[in-house]
Amino acid sequence: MKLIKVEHISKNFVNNSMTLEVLGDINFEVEKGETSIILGPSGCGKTTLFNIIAGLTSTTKGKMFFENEEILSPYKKIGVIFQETRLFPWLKIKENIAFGLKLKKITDQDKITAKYIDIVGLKGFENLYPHELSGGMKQRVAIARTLAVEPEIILMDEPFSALDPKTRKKMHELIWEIREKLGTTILFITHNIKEAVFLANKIYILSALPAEIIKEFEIQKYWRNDKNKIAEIENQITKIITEA
Amino acid sequence: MKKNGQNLELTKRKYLIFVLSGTLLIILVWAILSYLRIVSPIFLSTPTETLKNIYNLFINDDILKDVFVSIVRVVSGFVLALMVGLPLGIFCGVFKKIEAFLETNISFLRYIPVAAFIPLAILWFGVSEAEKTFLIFIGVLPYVILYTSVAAANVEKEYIEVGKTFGANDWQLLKKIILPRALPNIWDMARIEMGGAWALVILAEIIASNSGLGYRLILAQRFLHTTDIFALIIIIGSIGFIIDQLFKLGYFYMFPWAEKSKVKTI
Repeated sequence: MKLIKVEHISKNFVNNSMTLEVLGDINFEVEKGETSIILGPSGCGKTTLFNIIAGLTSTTKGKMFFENEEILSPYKKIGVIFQETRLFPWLKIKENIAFGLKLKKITDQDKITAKYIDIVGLKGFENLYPHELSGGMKQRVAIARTLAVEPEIILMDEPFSALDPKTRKKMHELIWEIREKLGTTILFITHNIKEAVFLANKIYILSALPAEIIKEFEIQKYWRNDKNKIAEIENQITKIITEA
Repeated sequence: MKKNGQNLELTKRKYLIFVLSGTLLIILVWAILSYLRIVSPIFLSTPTETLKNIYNLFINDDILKDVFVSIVRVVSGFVLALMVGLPLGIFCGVFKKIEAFLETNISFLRYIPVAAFIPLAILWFGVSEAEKTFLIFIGVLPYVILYTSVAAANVEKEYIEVGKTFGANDWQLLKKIILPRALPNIWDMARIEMGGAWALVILAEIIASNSGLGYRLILAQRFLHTTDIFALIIIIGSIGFIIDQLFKLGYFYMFPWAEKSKVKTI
């Protein structure tokens, strides 16, 4: 089932009568239960695309649908995780995670919060403030905060780019774990080819400005243990991106 | 200053040494000028005389009653200004239309010295508690609105976006994000304004009153009780200092997260 459908989206920024075409003509779909990756070089408009799908920026042309409903503003079934964790510094970890639950006045908030604290491996840190945590732990909290409201799809914008390689690897494992356990659909934006190949069911490669999808890749789950296959795909993608 | 422009970090002990030496220097200058009679006692009383007089004022002269009166006045005017100014300030910071609507009034009010309102206040309210409350209120209000609106307007849009992605409506954004994020800065503003309000109450009492610390000050001047004047100045300053320290303490108690996340807020 198609969860998200992006149809002919383009975006121009106009500044002092100069028009910058950021997104050309973007079309893609996200299947329920899959992890789709938007991969592209830095400065190719990935974050603009992310903001559009999150409902935080308008499009110049084109439409976007969740199931069959058009998305025009932040949509309650789409969970969003930003590049910077954007945790609320005035709330303790457990209060940050319960933020969305409180807004929606959901019952059993403590139980749900505890469940997701457990899933992201932060038991014992509930009563700390964000500034007391490391970068990786903060991103775990951000993930739990979004998961807690049980969105149908999670949208992530380079969430691990500021982390060291070891922590990033741990976070990748966490994403796999969450996907296996909760069957979450993910749309993940990154410039990191290895990250994309490791996490994806499907990769969409963006060109430089104005960005368009120039190639799609399906990644089979069983390739994960096949180092040669992974390396081959990574090489192919690198070639496409450098030649684009 | 360091080469890269960062503030020079001081250890707590060194900081305290500098605090004490700054204080001692003033007392030393005061002592030299007064004990050596460089300045006549009619104009400058000695530190020991002043201390004795402070003791006297508290024990024999019931100064505590006037301290209490002044504090009640300042608190009532200040609280009233906060009650009106905080919501207005937040709305100004968040909604451009309200900001535009109030801008001229606030800027105009801010540039009128409060002393200019004293004749009007006496005309309207007589020499009364209401008159003093009004003066503090009118003196503090424009600043409360201004600083609160700046604090609310400066809440990072990134946090507001997070709220929106969780489906928060405008009221929830205000209550759950803008207000708690702006509160430490509003508290800092209140601390500064409290200093202003304390100065105002003394001024209002000096000009027209029959109780309070300002009234005692003008009384001491009329009878040429220089040591009383010095004692009262020190009492007024000390109370101001204590109030300020309470605000500082309150900040650390209420916003344990704020100091640490000041450097990097997101």
